Amino acid sequence: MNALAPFAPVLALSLGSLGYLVSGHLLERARLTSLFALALIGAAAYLIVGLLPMAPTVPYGFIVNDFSKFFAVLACLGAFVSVIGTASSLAEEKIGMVSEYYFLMLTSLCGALVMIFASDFLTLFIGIEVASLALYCLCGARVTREASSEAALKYFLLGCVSSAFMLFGIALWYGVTGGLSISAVQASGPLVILSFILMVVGLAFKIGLAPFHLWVPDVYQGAPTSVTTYMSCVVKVAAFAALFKIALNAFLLPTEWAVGVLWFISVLAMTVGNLAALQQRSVKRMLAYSSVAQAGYMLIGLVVLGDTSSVLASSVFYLTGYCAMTIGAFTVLSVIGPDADSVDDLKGLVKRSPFLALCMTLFFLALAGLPPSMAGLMGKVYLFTGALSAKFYGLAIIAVLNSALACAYYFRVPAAMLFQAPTSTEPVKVSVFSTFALTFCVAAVVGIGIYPEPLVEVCEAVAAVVVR
Amino acid sequence: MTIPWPPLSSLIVVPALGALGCLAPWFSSRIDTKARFVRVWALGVSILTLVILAAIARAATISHGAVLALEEARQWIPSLGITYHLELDGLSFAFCLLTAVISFAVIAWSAKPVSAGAGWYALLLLGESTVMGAFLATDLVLFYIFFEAMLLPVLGAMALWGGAQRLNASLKFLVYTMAGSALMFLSILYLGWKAQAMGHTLDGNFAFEITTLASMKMLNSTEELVLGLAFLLAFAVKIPMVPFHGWLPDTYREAPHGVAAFTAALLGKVGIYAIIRFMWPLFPTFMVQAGPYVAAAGAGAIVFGALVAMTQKDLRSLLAYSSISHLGFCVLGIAGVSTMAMTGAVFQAVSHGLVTAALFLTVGTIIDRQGSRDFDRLGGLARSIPLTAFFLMIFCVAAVALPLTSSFVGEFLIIVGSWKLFPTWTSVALLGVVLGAVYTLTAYLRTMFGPLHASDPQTGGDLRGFDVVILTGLAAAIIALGIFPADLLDMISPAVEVTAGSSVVADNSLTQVFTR
Repeated sequence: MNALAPFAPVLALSLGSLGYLVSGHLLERARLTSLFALALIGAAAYLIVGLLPMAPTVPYGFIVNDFSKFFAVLACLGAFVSVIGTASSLAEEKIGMVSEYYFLMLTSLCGALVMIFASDFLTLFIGIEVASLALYCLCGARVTREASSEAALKYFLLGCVSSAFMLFGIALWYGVTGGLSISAVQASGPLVILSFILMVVGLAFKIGLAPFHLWVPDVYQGAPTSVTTYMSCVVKVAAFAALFKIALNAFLLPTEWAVGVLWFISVLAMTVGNLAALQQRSVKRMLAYSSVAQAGYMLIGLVVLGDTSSVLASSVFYLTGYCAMTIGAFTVLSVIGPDADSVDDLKGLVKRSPFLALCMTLFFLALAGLPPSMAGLMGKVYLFTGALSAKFYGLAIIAVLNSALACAYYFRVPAAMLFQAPTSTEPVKVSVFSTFALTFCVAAVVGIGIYPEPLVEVCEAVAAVVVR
Repeated sequence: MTIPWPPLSSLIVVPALGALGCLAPWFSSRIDTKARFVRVWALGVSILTLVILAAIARAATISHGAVLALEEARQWIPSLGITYHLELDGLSFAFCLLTAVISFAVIAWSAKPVSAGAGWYALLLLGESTVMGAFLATDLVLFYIFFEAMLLPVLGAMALWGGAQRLNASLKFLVYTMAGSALMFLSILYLGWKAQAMGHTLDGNFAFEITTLASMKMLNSTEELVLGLAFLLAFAVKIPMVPFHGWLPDTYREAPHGVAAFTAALLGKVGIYAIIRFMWPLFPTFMVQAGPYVAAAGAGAIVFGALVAMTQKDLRSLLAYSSISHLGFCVLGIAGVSTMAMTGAVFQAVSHGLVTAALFLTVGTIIDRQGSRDFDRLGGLARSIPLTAFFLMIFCVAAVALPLTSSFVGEFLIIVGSWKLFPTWTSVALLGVVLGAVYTLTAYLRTMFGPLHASDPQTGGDLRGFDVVILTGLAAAIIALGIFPADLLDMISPAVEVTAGSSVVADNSLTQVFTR
């Protein structure tokens, strides 16, 4: 039994999600659907934290150390909060069979956990595929709307191509090293470089980094808001974990060529994301492009990789803060309504629901990196100091100018919410679940910034595991 | 001197909690949002802040001798080297006092926008809290946080209750400031990292606290140049220095009266304070090298502001450009490598704060009464609103820097202090004084005397009630500081000497003309 312990969270989730297929309609009649999902995710998180052995182990295909535990818990937490926040809006979104929805979501979370725990490339690929296939179906969950099916198809087609890239990279790695484990092997040469680039292409697609971001706005906008809430956090967490693991353990970054490639992707993501977001009238597309830019900031930690591990820690810290912000922002959108998308829909929200307006303002301020939601500001302090300490002045200047530029569109939504007259005056009802989720996100966003010390120490410990 | 209990934090926390308290009507159905309760509460909070400030200063001075130097330091984020470090010395006390007084005046002012309820007081108190924080913080990251945070209440108030172009003006304000301070943000982080890299910090982490950084002398000349320019850019947008003043006329024109008074009186002063507090200790060589350029910018602002003010067709725009012009004096003062000029700049900043706030409030009454700020709709008002005319005369005279007003003391110190170093720019500045008299008095004539352009409105009378008390208090402060500047100068001068460091020429001989 001990051998199965590391696999317990994933097993629990997958078996539990099968329970949805079997007894879904019973759960729906008992109105327990969401609660069952929450219970399963909670159980998985508990198993990760509590039952997994403290010492790092490498059971078959999995690696259990502080790094993977942290990211796994973060993914579970993100899924937990997004499910709570959007549970009450599922009915409005006309999802259809809610139990199938949760089955797919939990399967996707399983795939994400497998990605995070993977210690060899095949397991990683299985994780990517499981997570993605479930997510493709989830994007098309709003069966009555064309945009949803279009989003699913687009994501599916482009995702298959990116998976092909990833697989090719893995195959090249096998060709060069003769094995499939994500660990350093004495190998160099053009094939290794090519392998890295192909894998980066595959993972950058999943994260949504430019120039592989073309699916992001369409999918974020077309998918049901509850799926976007889940997707914007968990997929990034898992894909970043995979990227960090591969880059640092297998390819032994920093190497000059790798740093160059990642530098280029980071700068492109920041700039393209911010510039495109400036022109958007749709809040979901704006948030989608902004997530491209934010992913660009998060990549800085990997690009820079100074003498100490604290630069990667800053990326992990920023990622945590970002999860809270993005889940919160999309939850607010899902609470307002299934079709709440354009800035006009959000006009005058402060009169319809001051709580929602306040939460959304805080999330957007955090994304912009302004007080009082300090998670964004502290994250940027941490990231940019790291970049400067490794003498990446150009990257730091570009990043900080992009942050300043981003304020122009980050203020559009709070300005509309707070200062413009509403188009409809009916108040927006916020359910207890959503209130809890939003309060949690607000507390995270403000608290991480005001008292970041504990999280900083955790991130440093996490980064120290992978950075030699 | 470090006191264990948090007196300085209370200056920041009390207004912030007061702001939260103002929002109480939202949660209780019994209290009407527009009730007098919120106003009385806000007034009480601002008076309390003023009293706390006075008490702290008195206690510190009595116990520690003549020099005020109070610190409050606390660990905050050790792994990033960010400390929670506040300091109250003569320099910051002058500005904190200005903040407390102006906030009180604006909160107590009766004319607030019609649709403004509890939120008005909440935003003003929040503004007071953040500006106090900016004046007290000595840790660079903490300062940056307050520097950015002070934008938000002002932006909010302007966007909610401003004029027709308010959203455009708010966006301009925001983008200018964020763009200006982006590079300063990076420079701050660079400084913190450099301190760690040179191995000067206690525990091997970054260090952002100004006294630690200033004592290190760790920058080579390229670094000093680049970082100095980045800092200077941010403060140049804030004060504002010409040619970075593009946000100012729109903001001052569109903001509601109280917010315009608050912004004009306080926000720009943070830039002036920060140059003395942070830039002189950190980049002394750069400041000496940049001195002529900053002096040129100051003198240019004086003349440019005055000339453009003369062409303006409405009162608010005229006030905006006149503000640019007067702040040029402060800029000239901080360029000078002389204690007298810098003390004069701080004194002038305080005086300008009082005068500008009073002008905006008084002019606000006139605009509200006439329903328009254009000069075409004003004229011959002295007959119908004599009290307003009287106060406006006092404040216009103070703006022109007639002797017996505080502006005269400030400008005199700046001119004499800068004369030796920048004779050309100082002469240009003197020209600006004359121009200042021209447009100020012309504006007064056009508004108050001359034929009646618009029909006299039946409603809206003269100043009355508590407003008269507030304006009397401001006028009294201006005149008192003009006649007896010694106390304030004695407080500012040693602090400026200590802060600005050894590169500054200490020539207080003429300051002693004003002291006992």
